[in-house]
Amino acid sequence: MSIASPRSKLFPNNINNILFLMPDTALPSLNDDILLEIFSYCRDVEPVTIWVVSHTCRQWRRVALEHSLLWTHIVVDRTTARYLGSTSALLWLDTWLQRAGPERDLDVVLNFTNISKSRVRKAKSLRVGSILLLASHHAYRWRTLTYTLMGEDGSLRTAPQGVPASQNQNPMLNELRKTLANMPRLQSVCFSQNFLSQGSPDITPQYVHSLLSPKAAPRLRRVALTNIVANNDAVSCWPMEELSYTFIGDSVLVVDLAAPLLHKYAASRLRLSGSPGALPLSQTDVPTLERLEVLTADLDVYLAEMVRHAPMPYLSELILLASNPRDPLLIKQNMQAHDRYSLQLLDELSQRPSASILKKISLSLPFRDIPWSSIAQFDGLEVLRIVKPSTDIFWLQYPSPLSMLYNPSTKPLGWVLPQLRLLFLEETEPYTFTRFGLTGGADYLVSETKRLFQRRSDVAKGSAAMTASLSIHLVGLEARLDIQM
Amino acid sequence: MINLTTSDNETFTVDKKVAEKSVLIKNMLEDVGESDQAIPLPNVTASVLKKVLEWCEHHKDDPAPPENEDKDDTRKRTTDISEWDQKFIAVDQEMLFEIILAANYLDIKALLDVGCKTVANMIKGKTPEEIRKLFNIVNDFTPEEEAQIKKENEWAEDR
Repeated sequence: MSIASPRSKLFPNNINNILFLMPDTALPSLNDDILLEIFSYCRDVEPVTIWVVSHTCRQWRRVALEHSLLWTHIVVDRTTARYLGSTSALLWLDTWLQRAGPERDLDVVLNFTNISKSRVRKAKSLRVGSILLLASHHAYRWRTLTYTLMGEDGSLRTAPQGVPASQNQNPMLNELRKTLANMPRLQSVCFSQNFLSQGSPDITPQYVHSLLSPKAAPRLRRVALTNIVANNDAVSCWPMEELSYTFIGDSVLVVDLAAPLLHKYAASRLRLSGSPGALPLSQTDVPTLERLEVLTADLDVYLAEMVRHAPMPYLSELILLASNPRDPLLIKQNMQAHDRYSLQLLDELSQRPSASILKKISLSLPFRDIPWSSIAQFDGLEVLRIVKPSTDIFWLQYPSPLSMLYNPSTKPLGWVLPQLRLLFLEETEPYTFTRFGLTGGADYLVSETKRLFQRRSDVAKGSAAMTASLSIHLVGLEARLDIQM
Repeated sequence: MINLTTSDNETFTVDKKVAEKSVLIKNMLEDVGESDQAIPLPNVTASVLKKVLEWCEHHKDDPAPPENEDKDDTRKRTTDISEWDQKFIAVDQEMLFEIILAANYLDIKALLDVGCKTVANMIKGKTPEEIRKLFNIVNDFTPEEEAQIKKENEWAEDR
């Protein structure tokens, strides 16, 4: 190992440097159990790797082929096509399915993102519909399904040439309908496309999504959708643990057609991402989110507006995200969005009868001050997380801004948010060159914080205390400080 | 404190809490009870045990992992490794493999995971030939296996 030591000293912090440490002697051999563990990680991170290791040496191939579990994550995408070829996709997909054994649960990913952009000729041979159909013969044991169709112009056709446009006459669509009528193990689906295809006879993610029903997939609990719109089906209030919806592109049509999905999938956790780029045409149609407990939303004017009008009687946790864009135009847009969600949304939620149920709020605030007066309206709030870039003057002024938690006019003790137990203040990367961050040493920050909250700590003592004992966690880019009052 | 003796006859005295990160040692201590006698570790050399104990010391206060992971969980495992563990495992390949073998022998699941994730990350994105070169692996396929692999590679004639 003559070159190993100098290199490891030169680059001690980077794991990739192990790549440079070429062995000059035989390495200790790893037994089958350890190889199985390594290959399992390979399968989880990049499933096609299991093919690669099976082509490396006898022991690795034997371990790979002996364990069908290693072949249960089946991925058809650009990376896989690059390694296994695209003209023979049906052949290797069939072998992959066989190697996964006849009974094991399958995680299937069919991702045709921009596959026609760089490989126009090969995209023809990568017949999307045929691949989906072959995989669908194992739909009875799908555990998860991801189907992504993102052409650069949204025009990637999925039906083979020459098939009739009518759904009733297309044998492939008929067969797919049959195979997807029985997915008893399916727990999670992800359908994404960057175009609208409502009513299209193609086997798009939209079409496959339309085949989902509580009868066909009784164990389905997680749904992630991008630009999928509602079908004219009768299913409503299908209980989900998690619904994630992403808007891409500007289309008022998507907003209006997607909104009913929030009602169809009655999720306890909802994640809204991207930007619809438009408001719903009819705000009276905003569905009631009856089972929603946790809402996570990107910083976006239109999302904020959608959410603001939706009744959420059991909302207990609200997470409003925001990145730190450098583009001045985006900054301006985000400042508008911030006003909508942090002020209007919070104010509106606080006026609802369900306000006392909201226990946790997380706000990313790249551009604005903390809206204390809006937050203060949630008397039952127990956990508050504020995320600010180090550019923000908040860090320079800390802990003074926290004095807003004391208001002498608030009865009976003067402390707002009397149930607040945990306050997280997190610093993120700056979006300009200016950086403040926390100033003063740890001792100073702790003593000043404790001094500010001394009277609150006093009233929080004892079993009959009307104010909760508070701990503050300062999470900086380089250090963390936990302060228990 | 616990005494551990390596295959090359070096003895390490370590805190019991640190040593008990190893399920093997923990079970031995439970079986034998309190004793001044050193626990022999015939499959681990001093240089490797030193590294393993460094890891155990750093992680001695980590909560125990859940006994049974949720079988219904559809979320994939990642090969993310904490910053400290990345620095710890940035060693030459021989030591990396020795740590993995020692973690397996001593039954330290979390350390075994760090080692396996590291190797998985090294394998990711490489061709079989690059992997053979990286790990000094001999291509020892039989002619029959070679023919089958060739056939599988022929599928990719257009790549």
